[in-house]
Amino acid sequence: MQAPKGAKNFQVIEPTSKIADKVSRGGPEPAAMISRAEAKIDEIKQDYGKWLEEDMKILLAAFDKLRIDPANRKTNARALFDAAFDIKGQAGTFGYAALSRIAKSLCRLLEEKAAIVDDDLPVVLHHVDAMRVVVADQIVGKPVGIPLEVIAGLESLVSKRLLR
Amino acid sequence: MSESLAPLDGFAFLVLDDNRYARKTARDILRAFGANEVHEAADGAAGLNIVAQHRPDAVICDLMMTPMDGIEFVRRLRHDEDSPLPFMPIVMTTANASAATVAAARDAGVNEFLAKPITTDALLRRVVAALTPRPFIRTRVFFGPDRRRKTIAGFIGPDRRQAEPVDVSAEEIRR
Repeated sequence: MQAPKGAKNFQVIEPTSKIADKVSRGGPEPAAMISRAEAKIDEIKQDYGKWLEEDMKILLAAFDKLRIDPANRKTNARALFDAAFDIKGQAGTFGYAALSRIAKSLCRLLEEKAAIVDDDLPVVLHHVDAMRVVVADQIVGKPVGIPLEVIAGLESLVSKRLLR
Repeated sequence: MSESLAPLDGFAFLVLDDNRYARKTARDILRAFGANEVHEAADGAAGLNIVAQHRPDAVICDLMMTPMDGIEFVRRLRHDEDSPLPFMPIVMTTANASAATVAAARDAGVNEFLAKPITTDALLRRVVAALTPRPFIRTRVFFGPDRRRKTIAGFIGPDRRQAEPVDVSAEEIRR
Protein backbone atom coordinates (compact mmCIF):
# COMPACT_ATOMS: atom_id res chain seq x y z
CA MET A 1 0.00 0.00 0.00
CA GLN A 2 1.26 3.47 -0.84
CA ALA A 3 1.29 5.89 2.11
CA PRO A 4 -0.59 9.13 1.53
CA LYS A 5 1.62 11.93 0.18
CA GLY A 6 3.00 14.02 3.04
CA ALA A 7 2.24 11.35 5.62
CA LYS A 8 5.06 10.40 7.97
CA ASN A 9 6.57 7.07 7.04
CA PHE A 10 8.16 6.61 10.44
CA GLN A 11 6.90 6.37 13.97
CA VAL A 12 8.47 7.78 17.13
CA ILE A 13 7.76 5.67 20.20
CA GLU A 14 8.51 6.61 23.79
CA PRO A 15 9.13 3.25 25.47
CA THR A 16 7.56 2.79 28.87
CA SER A 17 10.13 1.82 31.43
CA LYS A 18 10.43 0.87 35.05
CA ILE A 19 13.97 2.13 35.05
CA ALA A 20 13.09 5.56 36.43
CA ASP A 21 11.57 3.90 39.51
CA LYS A 22 14.64 1.81 40.06
CA VAL A 23 17.18 4.61 39.74
CA SER A 24 15.32 6.92 42.09
CA ARG A 25 16.05 4.73 45.08
CA GLY A 26 19.50 6.17 45.66
CA GLY A 27 22.76 4.34 46.20
CA PRO A 28 26.51 4.75 45.93
CA GLU A 29 28.14 7.51 43.89
CA PRO A 30 29.58 6.58 40.46
CA ALA A 31 33.14 7.00 41.78
CA ALA A 32 32.41 4.51 44.55
CA MET A 33 30.91 2.08 42.03
CA ILE A 34 34.00 2.36 39.83
CA SER A 35 36.30 1.81 42.83
CA ARG A 36 34.31 -1.26 43.81
CA ALA A 37 34.49 -2.61 40.26
CA GLU A 38 38.22 -1.88 40.02
CA ALA A 39 38.76 -3.78 43.26
CA LYS A 40 36.87 -6.68 41.68
CA ILE A 41 39.08 -6.49 38.58
CA ASP A 42 42.14 -6.66 40.86
CA GLU A 43 40.69 -9.83 42.39
CA ILE A 44 40.00 -11.38 38.98
CA LYS A 45 43.55 -10.50 37.89
CA GLN A 46 44.72 -13.29 40.20
CA ASP A 47 42.77 -15.75 38.04
CA TYR A 48 43.60 -14.12 34.73
CA GLY A 49 47.08 -15.68 34.71
CA LYS A 50 45.42 -19.12 34.59
CA TRP A 51 42.89 -18.05 31.95
CA LEU A 52 45.71 -16.61 29.87
CA GLU A 53 47.67 -19.84 30.17
CA GLU A 54 44.67 -21.72 28.76
CA ASP A 55 44.12 -19.16 26.01
CA MET A 56 47.81 -19.36 25.04
CA LYS A 57 47.64 -23.17 24.88
CA ILE A 58 44.70 -22.87 22.48
CA LEU A 59 46.57 -20.25 20.45
CA LEU A 60 49.75 -22.36 20.21
CA ALA A 61 47.79 -25.49 19.25
CA ALA A 62 45.99 -23.50 16.55
CA PHE A 63 49.31 -22.17 15.25
CA ASP A 64 50.79 -25.68 15.10
CA LYS A 65 47.82 -26.86 13.06
CA LEU A 66 48.14 -23.91 10.72
CA ARG A 67 51.81 -24.74 10.20
CA ILE A 68 51.62 -28.50 9.73
CA ASP A 69 48.29 -28.89 7.97
CA PRO A 70 48.34 -26.76 4.80
CA ALA A 71 45.41 -28.69 3.33
CA ASN A 72 43.06 -27.11 5.89
CA ARG A 73 44.72 -23.75 6.11
CA LYS A 74 41.54 -21.68 5.89
CA THR A 75 39.88 -23.51 8.80
CA ASN A 76 43.08 -23.48 10.83
CA ALA A 77 43.64 -19.77 10.19
CA ARG A 78 40.09 -19.14 11.43
CA ALA A 79 40.79 -21.13 14.62
CA LEU A 80 43.95 -19.13 15.21
CA PHE A 81 42.05 -15.89 14.58
CA ASP A 82 39.42 -16.90 17.17
CA ALA A 83 42.12 -17.66 19.75
CA ALA A 84 43.92 -14.37 19.12
CA PHE A 85 40.60 -12.49 19.08
CA ASP A 86 39.72 -13.77 22.57
CA ILE A 87 43.09 -12.67 23.93
CA LYS A 88 42.79 -9.30 22.18
CA GLY A 89 39.42 -8.68 23.85
CA GLN A 90 40.37 -9.79 27.34
CA ALA A 91 44.03 -8.99 27.92
CA GLY A 92 43.66 -5.21 28.01
CA THR A 93 41.08 -5.32 30.78
CA PHE A 94 43.68 -6.95 33.01
CA GLY A 95 46.54 -4.63 32.15
CA TYR A 96 48.15 -6.66 29.33
CA ALA A 97 47.93 -3.82 26.83
CA ALA A 98 50.94 -5.01 24.80
CA LEU A 99 49.50 -8.51 24.51
CA SER A 100 46.16 -7.13 23.37
CA ARG A 101 47.85 -5.03 20.71
CA ILE A 102 49.98 -7.89 19.37
CA ALA A 103 46.87 -10.10 19.22
CA LYS A 104 45.08 -7.30 17.37
CA SER A 105 47.89 -7.15 14.79
CA LEU A 106 47.74 -10.93 14.32
CA CYS A 107 43.94 -10.79 13.93
CA ARG A 108 44.35 -8.10 11.28
CA LEU A 109 46.67 -10.30 9.21
CA LEU A 110 44.44 -13.38 9.56
CA GLU A 111 41.24 -11.47 8.82
CA GLU A 112 42.32 -9.16 6.02
CA LYS A 113 44.57 -11.51 4.05
CA ALA A 114 42.47 -13.33 1.48
CA ALA A 115 44.42 -16.56 2.06
CA ILE A 116 47.25 -17.41 4.43
CA VAL A 117 50.21 -18.76 2.46
CA ASP A 118 53.59 -20.20 3.47
CA ASP A 119 55.24 -16.78 3.27
CA ASP A 120 52.83 -15.47 5.91
CA LEU A 121 53.83 -18.09 8.47
CA PRO A 122 57.03 -16.35 9.67
CA VAL A 123 54.98 -13.21 10.35
CA VAL A 124 52.44 -15.27 12.29
CA LEU A 125 55.29 -16.94 14.19
CA HIS A 126 56.79 -13.56 15.16
CA HIS A 127 53.44 -12.58 16.67
CA VAL A 128 53.05 -15.85 18.54
CA ASP A 129 56.61 -15.62 19.89
CA ALA A 130 56.09 -12.02 21.01
CA MET A 131 52.89 -13.03 22.78
CA ARG A 132 54.74 -15.86 24.55
CA VAL A 133 57.38 -13.42 25.80
CA VAL A 134 54.81 -10.91 27.04
CA VAL A 135 53.00 -13.64 28.97
CA ALA A 136 56.18 -15.27 30.33
CA ASP A 137 57.66 -11.93 31.43
CA GLN A 138 54.26 -10.61 32.56
CA ILE A 139 54.69 -7.37 30.64
CA VAL A 140 51.76 -5.24 31.76
CA GLY A 141 50.82 -1.57 31.49
CA LYS A 142 51.09 0.81 28.60
CA PRO A 143 53.75 -0.47 26.17
CA VAL A 144 56.93 1.62 26.13
CA GLY A 145 60.53 1.03 25.07
CA ILE A 146 61.34 -2.38 23.55
CA PRO A 147 57.80 -3.80 23.76
CA LEU A 148 56.51 -0.75 21.91
CA GLU A 149 59.21 -1.12 19.25
CA VAL A 150 58.37 -4.80 18.83
CA ILE A 151 54.67 -4.01 18.44
CA ALA A 152 55.41 -1.31 15.87
CA GLY A 153 57.60 -3.78 13.97
CA LEU A 154 54.91 -6.46 13.96
CA GLU A 155 52.24 -4.01 12.83
CA SER A 156 54.53 -2.86 10.04
CA LEU A 157 55.18 -6.47 8.95
CA VAL A 158 51.44 -7.09 8.75
CA SER A 159 50.90 -3.94 6.70
CA LYS A 160 53.58 -5.07 4.26
CA ARG A 161 52.14 -8.59 3.95
CA LEU A 162 48.70 -7.15 3.29
CA LEU A 163 50.10 -5.15 0.37
CA ARG A 164 51.23 -8.34 -1.43
CA MET B 1 32.02 11.25 35.11
CA SER B 2 28.56 12.57 34.32
CA GLU B 3 26.27 13.72 37.14
CA SER B 4 23.43 11.74 35.58
CA LEU B 5 25.01 8.38 36.39
CA ALA B 6 22.83 6.33 38.66
CA PRO B 7 23.44 3.30 40.84
CA LEU B 8 22.50 -0.06 39.39
CA ASP B 9 21.20 -1.60 42.60
CA GLY B 10 18.20 -3.75 41.88
CA PHE B 11 18.89 -4.15 38.16
CA ALA B 12 18.99 -7.48 36.39
CA PHE B 13 21.29 -8.07 33.42
CA LEU B 14 21.97 -10.68 30.81
CA VAL B 15 25.60 -11.08 29.73
CA LEU B 16 25.84 -12.70 26.33
CA ASP B 17 29.33 -13.80 25.27
CA ASP B 18 30.80 -17.04 23.96
CA ASN B 19 33.95 -16.54 26.04
CA ARG B 20 33.35 -17.67 29.61
CA TYR B 21 36.08 -15.44 30.99
CA ALA B 22 34.57 -12.43 29.27
CA ARG B 23 31.21 -13.37 30.80
CA LYS B 24 32.74 -13.70 34.25
CA THR B 25 34.51 -10.36 33.94
CA ALA B 26 31.35 -8.52 32.87
CA ARG B 27 29.28 -10.33 35.48
CA ASP B 28 31.64 -9.44 38.32
CA ILE B 29 31.87 -5.79 37.24
CA LEU B 30 28.07 -5.50 37.00
CA ARG B 31 27.70 -7.04 40.45
CA ALA B 32 30.24 -4.55 41.77
CA PHE B 33 28.06 -1.81 40.27
CA GLY B 34 25.18 -3.13 42.38
CA ALA B 35 23.32 -5.39 39.95
CA ASN B 36 21.46 -8.01 41.93
CA GLU B 37 20.89 -10.49 39.11
CA VAL B 38 23.27 -11.32 36.27
CA HIS B 39 22.28 -14.11 33.89
CA GLU B 40 24.70 -15.55 31.36
CA ALA B 41 24.47 -17.21 27.97
CA ALA B 42 26.99 -18.16 25.27
CA ASP B 43 25.01 -17.38 22.11
CA GLY B 44 22.05 -15.44 20.79
CA ALA B 45 19.52 -18.28 20.82
CA ALA B 46 20.23 -19.09 24.48
CA GLY B 47 20.07 -15.36 25.18
CA LEU B 48 16.58 -15.04 23.69
CA ASN B 49 15.39 -17.85 25.97
CA ILE B 50 16.82 -16.12 29.03
CA VAL B 51 15.23 -12.80 28.05
CA ALA B 52 11.84 -14.53 27.76
CA GLN B 53 12.27 -16.39 31.02
CA HIS B 54 13.93 -13.81 33.31
CA ARG B 55 13.09 -10.48 31.63
CA PRO B 56 16.32 -8.68 32.57
CA ASP B 57 16.53 -4.87 32.52
CA ALA B 58 19.39 -4.77 30.00
CA VAL B 59 21.68 -6.98 27.92
CA ILE B 60 25.45 -6.78 27.49
CA CYS B 61 25.92 -8.62 24.20
CA ASP B 62 29.09 -9.66 22.38
CA LEU B 63 29.04 -9.38 18.61
CA MET B 64 30.94 -12.49 17.50
CA MET B 65 29.25 -15.66 18.72
CA THR B 66 28.14 -18.90 17.13
CA PRO B 67 25.72 -20.19 16.07
CA MET B 68 23.64 -17.01 16.58
CA ASP B 69 25.78 -13.87 16.67
CA GLY B 70 25.06 -10.61 18.45
CA ILE B 71 23.62 -8.79 15.44
CA GLU B 72 21.10 -11.56 14.79
CA PHE B 73 20.20 -11.64 18.49
CA VAL B 74 19.46 -7.90 18.44
CA ARG B 75 17.43 -8.17 15.22
CA ARG B 76 15.37 -11.02 16.64
CA LEU B 77 14.78 -9.22 19.92
CA ARG B 78 13.75 -6.01 18.17
CA HIS B 79 11.73 -7.46 15.28
CA ASP B 80 10.27 -10.87 16.13
CA GLU B 81 6.51 -10.74 16.53
CA ASP B 82 6.73 -12.78 19.71
CA SER B 83 9.72 -10.87 21.11
CA PRO B 84 9.19 -10.55 24.87
CA LEU B 85 10.98 -7.20 25.20
CA PRO B 86 11.55 -5.37 21.89
CA PHE B 87 12.60 -2.17 23.69
CA MET B 88 15.30 -3.93 25.73
CA PRO B 89 18.36 -1.72 26.38
CA ILE B 90 21.34 -3.38 24.70
CA VAL B 91 25.05 -2.62 24.96
CA MET B 92 27.03 -4.39 22.24
CA THR B 93 30.68 -5.23 22.89
CA THR B 94 33.33 -6.42 20.46
CA ALA B 95 37.08 -6.64 20.05
CA ASN B 96 36.53 -5.74 16.39
CA ALA B 97 35.29 -2.17 16.63
CA SER B 98 35.59 -1.13 12.98
CA ALA B 99 33.37 1.56 11.51
CA ALA B 100 31.49 -1.13 9.58
CA THR B 101 30.77 -3.17 12.73
CA VAL B 102 29.61 -0.12 14.66
CA ALA B 103 27.27 0.80 11.78
CA ALA B 104 25.92 -2.77 11.55
CA ALA B 105 25.25 -2.85 15.29
CA ARG B 106 23.56 0.56 15.24
CA ASP B 107 21.39 -0.42 12.28
CA ALA B 108 20.40 -3.66 14.01
CA GLY B 109 19.08 -1.50 16.88
CA VAL B 110 21.63 -1.54 19.69
CA ASN B 111 21.52 1.30 22.22
CA GLU B 112 25.24 1.55 22.90
CA PHE B 113 28.48 0.13 21.56
CA LEU B 114 31.58 -0.68 23.60
CA ALA B 115 34.98 -1.69 22.22
CA LYS B 116 36.85 -4.46 24.02
CA PRO B 117 38.96 -4.62 26.09
CA ILE B 118 36.34 -3.18 28.40
CA THR B 119 37.13 -0.88 31.29
CA THR B 120 34.94 -0.44 34.36
CA ASP B 121 34.45 3.25 33.66
CA ALA B 122 33.44 2.73 30.01
CA LEU B 123 31.09 -0.14 30.85
CA LEU B 124 29.32 1.93 33.51
CA ARG B 125 28.89 4.85 31.13
CA ARG B 126 27.47 2.67 28.35
CA VAL B 127 25.15 0.76 30.66
CA VAL B 128 23.74 3.92 32.19
CA ALA B 129 23.35 5.50 28.74
CA ALA B 130 21.50 2.39 27.51
CA LEU B 131 19.22 2.41 30.56
CA THR B 132 18.38 6.09 30.10
CA PRO B 133 15.04 6.17 28.27
CA ARG B 134 15.38 7.25 24.62
CA PRO B 135 12.73 7.38 21.89
CA PHE B 136 12.51 4.44 19.51
CA ILE B 137 12.05 4.90 15.78
CA ARG B 138 10.15 2.52 13.54
CA THR B 139 10.47 2.75 9.77
CA ARG B 140 10.04 0.09 7.14
CA VAL B 141 13.71 -0.80 7.38
CA PHE B 142 14.66 0.07 10.97
CA PHE B 143 13.39 -0.40 14.49
CA GLY B 144 15.49 0.69 17.43
CA PRO B 145 16.66 3.60 19.57
CA ASP B 146 16.77 6.94 17.79
CA ARG B 147 20.12 7.02 16.01
CA ARG B 148 20.17 10.83 16.12
CA ARG B 149 21.96 11.78 19.29
CA LYS B 150 21.33 15.50 19.02
CA THR B 151 19.09 18.00 17.30
CA ILE B 152 20.95 20.44 15.10
CA ALA B 153 19.37 23.86 15.55
CA GLY B 154 18.53 25.50 12.25
CA PHE B 155 19.30 22.36 10.20
CA ILE B 156 18.34 22.79 6.58
CA GLY B 157 18.35 19.73 4.38
CA PRO B 158 16.45 16.61 3.42
CA ASP B 159 14.72 14.55 6.10
CA ARG B 160 16.26 11.16 5.43
CA ARG B 161 13.53 9.34 7.33
CA GLN B 162 10.97 10.91 5.01
CA ALA B 163 13.16 10.09 2.03
CA GLU B 164 13.01 6.36 2.80
CA PRO B 165 10.68 4.21 0.65
CA VAL B 166 7.01 4.98 1.31
CA ASP B 167 5.41 1.73 0.16
CA VAL B 168 4.42 0.93 3.69
CA SER B 169 1.04 0.67 5.34
CA ALA B 170 0.20 2.45 8.56
CA GLU B 171 -0.24 -0.99 10.10
CA GLU B 172 3.29 -2.01 9.16
CA ILE B 173 4.67 1.15 10.75
CA ARG B 174 2.80 0.52 13.99
CA ARG B 175 3.87 -3.08 14.33
